[in-house]
Amino acid sequence: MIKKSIALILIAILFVAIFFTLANDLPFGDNRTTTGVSDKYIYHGVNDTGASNLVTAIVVNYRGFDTLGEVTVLFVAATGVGAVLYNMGRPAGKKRKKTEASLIVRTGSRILFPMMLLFGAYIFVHGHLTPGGGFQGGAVIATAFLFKYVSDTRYHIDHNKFTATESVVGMTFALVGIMGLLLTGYFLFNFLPNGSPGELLSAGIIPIIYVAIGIKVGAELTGILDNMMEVEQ
Amino acid sequence: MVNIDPTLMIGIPLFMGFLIPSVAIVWKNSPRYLAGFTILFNLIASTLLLIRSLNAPVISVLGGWQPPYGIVFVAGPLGSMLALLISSMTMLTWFYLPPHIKEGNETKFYMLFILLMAGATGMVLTGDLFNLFVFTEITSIASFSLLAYSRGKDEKEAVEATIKYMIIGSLSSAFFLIGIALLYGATGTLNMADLASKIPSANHNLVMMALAMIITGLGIEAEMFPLNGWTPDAYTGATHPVSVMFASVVVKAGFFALIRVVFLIFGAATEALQILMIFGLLTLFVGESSALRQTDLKRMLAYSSIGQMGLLLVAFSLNNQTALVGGLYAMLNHAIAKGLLFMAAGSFIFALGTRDISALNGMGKRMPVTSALFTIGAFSIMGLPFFGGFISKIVIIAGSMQAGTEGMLVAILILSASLIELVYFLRVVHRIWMREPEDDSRLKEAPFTQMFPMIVLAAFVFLMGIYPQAFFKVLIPAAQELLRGLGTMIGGA
Amino acid sequence: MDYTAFIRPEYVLMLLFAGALITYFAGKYSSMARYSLSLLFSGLALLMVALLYGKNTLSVWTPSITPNGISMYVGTNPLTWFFAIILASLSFLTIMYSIPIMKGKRMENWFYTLTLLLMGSMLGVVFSSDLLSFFIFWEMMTLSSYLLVTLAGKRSDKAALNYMILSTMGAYSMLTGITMLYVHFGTTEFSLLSAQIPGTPVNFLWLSLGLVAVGFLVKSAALPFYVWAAPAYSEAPDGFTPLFSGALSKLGAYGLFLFMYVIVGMSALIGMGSFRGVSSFGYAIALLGSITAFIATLYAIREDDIKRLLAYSSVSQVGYILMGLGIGTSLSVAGSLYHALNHALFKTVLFMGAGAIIQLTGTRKMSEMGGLATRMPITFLTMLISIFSLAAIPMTSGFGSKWLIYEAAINKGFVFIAPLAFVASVGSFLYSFRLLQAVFLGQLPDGLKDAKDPSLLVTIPMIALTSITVLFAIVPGVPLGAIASAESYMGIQPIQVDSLFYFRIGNSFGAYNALVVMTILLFAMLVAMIMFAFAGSKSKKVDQHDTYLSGEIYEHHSDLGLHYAANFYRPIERMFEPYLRLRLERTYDAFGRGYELLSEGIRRVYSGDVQTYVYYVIGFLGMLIILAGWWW
Repeated sequence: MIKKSIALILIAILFVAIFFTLANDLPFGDNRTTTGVSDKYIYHGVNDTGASNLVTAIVVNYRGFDTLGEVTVLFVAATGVGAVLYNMGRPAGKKRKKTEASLIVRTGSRILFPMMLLFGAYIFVHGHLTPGGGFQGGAVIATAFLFKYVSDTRYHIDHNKFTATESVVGMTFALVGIMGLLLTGYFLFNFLPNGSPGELLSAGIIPIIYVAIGIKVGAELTGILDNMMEVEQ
Repeated sequence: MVNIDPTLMIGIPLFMGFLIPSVAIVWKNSPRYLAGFTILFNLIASTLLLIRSLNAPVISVLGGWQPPYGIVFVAGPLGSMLALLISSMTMLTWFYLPPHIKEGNETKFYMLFILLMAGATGMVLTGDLFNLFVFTEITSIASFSLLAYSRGKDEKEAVEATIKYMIIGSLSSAFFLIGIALLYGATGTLNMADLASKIPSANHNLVMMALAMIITGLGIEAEMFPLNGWTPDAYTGATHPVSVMFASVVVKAGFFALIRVVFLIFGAATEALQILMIFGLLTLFVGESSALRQTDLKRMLAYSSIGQMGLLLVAFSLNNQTALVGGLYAMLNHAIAKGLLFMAAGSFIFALGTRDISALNGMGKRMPVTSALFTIGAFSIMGLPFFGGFISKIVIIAGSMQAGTEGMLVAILILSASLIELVYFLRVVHRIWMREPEDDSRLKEAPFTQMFPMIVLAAFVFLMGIYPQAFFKVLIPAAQELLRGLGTMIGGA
Repeated sequence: MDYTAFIRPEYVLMLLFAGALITYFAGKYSSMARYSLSLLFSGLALLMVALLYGKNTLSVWTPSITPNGISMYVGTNPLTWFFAIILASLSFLTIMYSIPIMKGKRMENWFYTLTLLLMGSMLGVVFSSDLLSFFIFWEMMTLSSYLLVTLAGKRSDKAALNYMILSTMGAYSMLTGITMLYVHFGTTEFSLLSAQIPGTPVNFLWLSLGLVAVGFLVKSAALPFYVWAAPAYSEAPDGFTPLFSGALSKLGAYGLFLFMYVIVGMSALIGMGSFRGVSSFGYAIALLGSITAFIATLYAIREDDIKRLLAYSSVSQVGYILMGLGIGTSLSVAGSLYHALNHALFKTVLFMGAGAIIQLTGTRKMSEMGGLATRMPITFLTMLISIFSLAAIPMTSGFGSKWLIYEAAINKGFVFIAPLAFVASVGSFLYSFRLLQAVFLGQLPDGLKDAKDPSLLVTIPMIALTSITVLFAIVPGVPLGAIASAESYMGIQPIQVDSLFYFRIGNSFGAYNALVVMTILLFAMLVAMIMFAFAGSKSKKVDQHDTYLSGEIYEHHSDLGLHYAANFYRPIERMFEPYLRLRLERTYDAFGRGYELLSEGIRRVYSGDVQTYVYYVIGFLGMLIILAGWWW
């Protein structure tokens, strides 16, 4: 009770402090695009990178290095979750009984699973053209596997294959960066032609990276799911 | 001379980090060697980088986008010195690792280990604020994943510590990120050099709010009181080499990030420095006082680390060249000596099976070499002459004296805290050498592969105490770099 | 070959540090090598120091070791030499004495290594000619002496730790002071510093000098820092105590001489404020010294433990040194330096004798000793003369130095300092008489019937030091000659020494002809001895318990404290009892315990509860934001 009230008071203080400090300084809905670097991204993004999706242009090309980092963060986090769950789940006794899914779910999953994979793949392959990208596509793929887990109690993934896939696509990303360095002197330089914006094969290295990210994120999230499932058994 | 692009110091470890799991499927022992190779690469690269950066800052533009539009790596003397520190500490810890990893987890452990190094290296080299955030994330997430891979009976403790660290660490990244967002909102750029030039004309309230957020976020990583609740548990719960990495690499990188943001982006904002000064002194006293009555060896070292981080904060917030050089010296010394202490303590604990300080009675007779190495580390932290800590202490004191009357007060406070530190370290050293052990049997010393890093560190502690000029050659330009602010950082921009 | 090129202070130091290392490794394998090597190195160093007499050198011996380019200097001058020769000879003799005393003791090898290291660092303190190396050697000296104290094992733990804590506190205070000087003047070399002193703000000088002086006062065990001294001196290994009390305690005085007279200089010191022609700073030191001398004497009087008695006596004698040092006139400084020499001579002998007796009897309680005079004649004689010197009885060297100090105090009309010094002097007579009586006279306990003098290695140093005491009593001009040149180096008018006639010391206020006094006293003693010889035939030997047991059986009352030394000065003790109960130790202990409790409380901040930690984080952020929004 005391703790709860302390928490509430602290949050209230924080809210009041932030709100009244910034109330006049953060005009809501103001057009701020004309300041800073966003100008360049907005007006030259398509020309510079060949990607019609501006967000992708920034995320994978202008600031591709951040994305490489974020992929690593996710990778490390997946491993970390595995480690924590592995250590926590060790003493038996918290076994939860799994209930078999109904026939409808099982049959539906069999039909929907490939479609979900395809949808995920579509999202990351078209990352440079349409909203979405590697992370989103990967998440969709992971959802497909989650679906599998839910519908089939005996289902589990082949760890080695997943690990190998994850590795290979991760290395691909890093390799693309290193190749950029070798070919042009800049790490992660877009050494492929930009092509004409709007086409599937355009925007240089972006599609390669996004495919890699998509597969990687899918595999990692599935790995996390798998870890959680295993513990509950 | 071969020039290795600093970005490769991130690229290669990431590549290897992704490679290790798949190679391990076919060749079980490969992770150790692959990791070792990667660390060696970074070690060589950072050495070359340091030599190069002493002449002029090495600037590497990522993706070919000139700053401020793209990300840039700026390796001045300071950054490359820290990169060298990080890779060499990682290398030495690599030697120390084997018996401290839980069987069956080697693959993931080594993978995380080199990613941690890559993250920390990125933190010290990057010239982009958001990139700094990304690397901070890699570092902190890798470190709590490593923390979770503890071994033996500490497992439960390790998991508990991991969760504490995760909760507080996520607060850290949240606040840091909000701070960055506010700054971006106020200035429209993320490049540190560009930020520095735009901040004076940006909205003052927003900038100050961002500063508060960033200090809180990075203060957690830098073990600043009262944000360092995770520290004692994490150091204690972690397996010994990971404690070494925390003390010598993770926290140092976090501290450096904090200092860089305050100094470079905010142009040594006096308000921020006052806050850092006050909380640095608090950190110093709280850390040292908490260590005074500890009965748990690793916890004592952990609190001592907190105290030392407080000292660093104080030294840097004095904001004059002498104090900065002293602070940097203390930073190096603490990384080296505390790494040594954690390694030696790890060997003690490994042999004894307990972390209790009272079990150390008469260790001087039971494990003479490890005891001697522990003593060297302790003497350096205590600041006795001929050890690195002495030089850093006197230089910091001289620096604080330059700050006038308040500086003198600061000097007296630093020395009082140093006295507390002397007391508890002396008690342990005294126990090791002077007390009679209950059980007189000789304990097995660590094998040479583990002794080697400790000996190297001890040699460095000595070297820092008797030949400081060698280090000043790097530290003085490094301190000037910090003081000049971003004059040179803009370089390629 | 020209040997003189090697007679330089830096070589002395290198020799000793290398010697410590060599002795450690050689001593691991052979005890003979350990003894001979440590004797060789310390003897060689002593020789080199002796040959440094009259030299004035100054040299840089390291390149710059701080970012601002500070080099380290060593050098020698008359003041330095005076202290160096005391330290070196005492170290050499103590090492010799330790061979039988420390034989088979715990960590014997370390003892010699550390003693050589201590000798090197003590000489380093006096030879160093800049602030930084002074401080480094000072710290080394503290550390090696701390380690030497801990060699005694568990019982010395607390004493050693307290010594180290207080010393480090002092050293840190000193560090603050010297960094102030360095930052203000931009140099660390002594002569460059002293050249810049004139015109420095008085407040600055007071502050920096005061901070530096705290370090020296701790080392001199002056009020209010004397609490470490008695336990540390008495619990230290018997082989180390003579050096500890005889030599190391002088370095505090040396430091004060150095900073007050060499660096700051007399005129600047007077400029800081003066009191009857004596600088206020010096007066404060002198006052502290006299109070210390007085209080420590009171403590010494009630001690039954022989080493603690001598330890308190050391504290009180160093108080005299500080007294003379503070007053700062030609006479008093000479007296102070002379007393430093005398104290080194007699206190070393006393502690050596005490160590020998303790080894023989296995106890430190004087009430368990007695009647040893006939069994240990050499020890008795040497200690007797040393006690005379301690009590400042004419005919010993100790008289001359105290006489100079008194005269200086009286000349200045210090109504507070002079009486205290007198009272303390009477007190020192009281406790030294108790020591003499309890240990050597009275009845011999049954267990000590076959006691005999210790081996030559113990008696030779004692005899050597005692003969110097006697010699200097007759020719005080010899030490005073060296003292006079030290005084002129410090810019103080040197005491006049009759260069042809070494027996006279004195100045315009009066003179003291040692030879005359000595002759008269010898004559008087002769008369007394003749009288005693005649009366002696009539004396009757009585059994141990005859006189005051009235036939009771002694064994039944062994706990009554029937020994002559028990409750020796009961009336005096009763008189001062209420005051003595207010021991300063308690304040320190209370402070220490209080801080430990406080730290236990502070540690609770780390509750281990992650929710609390999150509150801290949020609270901190809230505070920062409020500051950021409304204050900045």
